[in-house]
Amino acid sequence: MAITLLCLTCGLYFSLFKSPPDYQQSDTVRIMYVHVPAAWMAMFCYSAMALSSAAALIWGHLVAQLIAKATAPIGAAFTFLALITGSLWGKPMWGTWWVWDARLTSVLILFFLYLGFIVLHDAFDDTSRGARAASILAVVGAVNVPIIKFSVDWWNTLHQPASVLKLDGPAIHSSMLIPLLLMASGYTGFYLWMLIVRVRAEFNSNKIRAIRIRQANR
Amino acid sequence: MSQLFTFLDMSGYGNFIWPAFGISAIILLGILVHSQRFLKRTEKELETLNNQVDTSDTA
Repeated sequence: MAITLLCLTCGLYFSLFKSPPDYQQSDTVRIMYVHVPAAWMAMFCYSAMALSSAAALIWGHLVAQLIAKATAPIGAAFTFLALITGSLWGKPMWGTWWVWDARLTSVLILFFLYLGFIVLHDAFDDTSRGARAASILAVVGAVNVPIIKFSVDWWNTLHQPASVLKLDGPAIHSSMLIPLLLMASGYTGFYLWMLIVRVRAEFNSNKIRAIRIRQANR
Repeated sequence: MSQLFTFLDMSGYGNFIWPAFGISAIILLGILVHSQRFLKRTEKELETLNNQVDTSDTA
């Protein structure tokens, strides 16, 4: 928790005060420090959710199922942030809030997959049926993650290609890379922190349900 | 004062940059508050139920 807050505080300081404006994008490049980590986390959280769902489906592991359920609202929040901050960056740079190109549309689909998972989980009276249906959706929807990642290479798009996660190293100056990595570390720490809190809460919810069923059967 | 206005103006892009940071802060704080409340609520409910079970077992 302390490391997360430290990373976010230092990241914000460097993002707003220390990093230089871009020679082409001017100060709008500062949106990158909240947009890119949110987009990374959107995909990271979905990958974690899909892997946990697969583990829950294959081995029937309760903790894996709870991790997937706890991750969904956090991932949905990061995806929503990626879409909104991307839109706020797109308007001054591209001249439009939104385009239906491959990158933006696939991220919007990711957001709907998160919402679908959350709704499906609670859509059945039998919670195990809901968890199973949601897990299947998460696993099938995982095909969207590589589509998001490579959409900028496979199709023509207004969105710029990858400039940090590249095989030949980042194409970004350290004065911008440091705040970006600090914010990304802060977002990752925030996810892990919230995951622990929500998994504990989900554990409690399961115990409450079990006690209630026992009371009802007496 | 003029330095502050120059900083807030962000080369004329303040209308896009500050909402991006503001919305990020609001959403992350929202998740934090919701998660903590969720945990507290379930802890309280579990404690109440456990007390009920203990009382009925003793009776």
